[in-house]
Amino acid sequence: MKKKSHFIALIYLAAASLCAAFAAVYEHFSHGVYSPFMVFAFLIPFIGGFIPFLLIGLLKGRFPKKLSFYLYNAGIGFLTVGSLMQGALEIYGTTNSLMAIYPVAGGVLLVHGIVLYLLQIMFGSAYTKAS
Amino acid sequence: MKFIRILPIILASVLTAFTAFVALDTFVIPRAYSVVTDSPVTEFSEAETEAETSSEAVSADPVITSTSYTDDDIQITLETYYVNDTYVYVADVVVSSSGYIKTALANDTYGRNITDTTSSIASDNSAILAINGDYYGSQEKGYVIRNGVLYRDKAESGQEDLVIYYDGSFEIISEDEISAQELIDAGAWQVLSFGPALLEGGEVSISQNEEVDRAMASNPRTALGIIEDGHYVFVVSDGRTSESEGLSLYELAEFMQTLGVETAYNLDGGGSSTMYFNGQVVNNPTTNGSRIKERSVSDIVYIG
Repeated sequence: MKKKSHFIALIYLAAASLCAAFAAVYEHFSHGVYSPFMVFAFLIPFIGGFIPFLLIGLLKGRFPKKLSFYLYNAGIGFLTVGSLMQGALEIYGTTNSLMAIYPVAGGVLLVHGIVLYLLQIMFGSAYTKAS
Repeated sequence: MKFIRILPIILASVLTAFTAFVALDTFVIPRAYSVVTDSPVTEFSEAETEAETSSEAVSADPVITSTSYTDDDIQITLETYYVNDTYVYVADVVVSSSGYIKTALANDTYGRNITDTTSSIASDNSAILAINGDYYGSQEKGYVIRNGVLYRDKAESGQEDLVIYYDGSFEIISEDEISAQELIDAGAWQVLSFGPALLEGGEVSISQNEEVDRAMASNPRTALGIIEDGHYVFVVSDGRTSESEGLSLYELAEFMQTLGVETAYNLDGGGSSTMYFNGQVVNNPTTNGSRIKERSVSDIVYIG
């Protein structure tokens, strides 16, 4: 489980690096127009993915069950892509009301993933068997 | 258990499909909300009747050169300046009635992603002089009043607008403080919603660090100003090229102050900045970086 946690942490680190590189290239060609959503998008997979899974590995915590893991990852994915899209729209100077769906969907997925993980920790094997 | 196995694929597909739809909806899919109608007002009827009577009596042809246009009601002089390592094009306009300051929408249609080049819209409307407008189509909020017709009344918090009244006067208003209908009732002829205001009462009204959103850099710019009743300036600067660095908003405001402008307002800049005069594009508009090509926009401000 420790190896798996570190592997997932590394994937999140790679995703954060990719976001940072994408933002750097995008901002380079944006003629001095900056968006914090673009610049700081990398923090979402870094803080929301790399650090938690690194801690699970280091502290020998329980690795989340599949459903919790998938929902949590999807939440981070929605929030990260939403942040990059918001940055792109701001830099272009436009808006779209559909953008509100990213944080809502991302938040719901993230919370469900966390709640399921907490249930897994609190109720241990009983919950594990049920899932 | 089978569902859980394919759940990541489902979630990834939903995210990808939704993102593609948002991108297409924002930048590509045209949505026409209404077709341009004639102005419902008659405030200009007296002045225009006088002008028509006068022009019928004299029927003088306009005098047109590469840098000027003169007829009985419109005098335009085009000058090029070089300030802050940037070419700036200034059209000095004197008109007998503010009814000659007109706006036009791309394809005569109000909507989102309905665009055309400034020169094409200008040509379609027989404009003598034109500049790009506020690119209202890129926003979902902000008042849109054109040639006396109200197209959008959704207020944007903190948005400063330029109001051109029927009497030709300019006023800077905040959408937080007045509704679009109240502006119509007060005699608004044109309302442009971009900003910020550059000059008010002849004084620079922005700080050195204030920019459009996060554009803390020199860029191509478009602005409109009034010197006195019936006397206006249309200003466009180049930028993003080796010949022209571009202007910051503060530099643009300072430059317009030297022209004697009382009220000046910043319009959509960057790749949109375009000036058209007597059938030609005057400046060097940039699209997709520093490539010299006109960008398609939602609307123009023109004399014609």
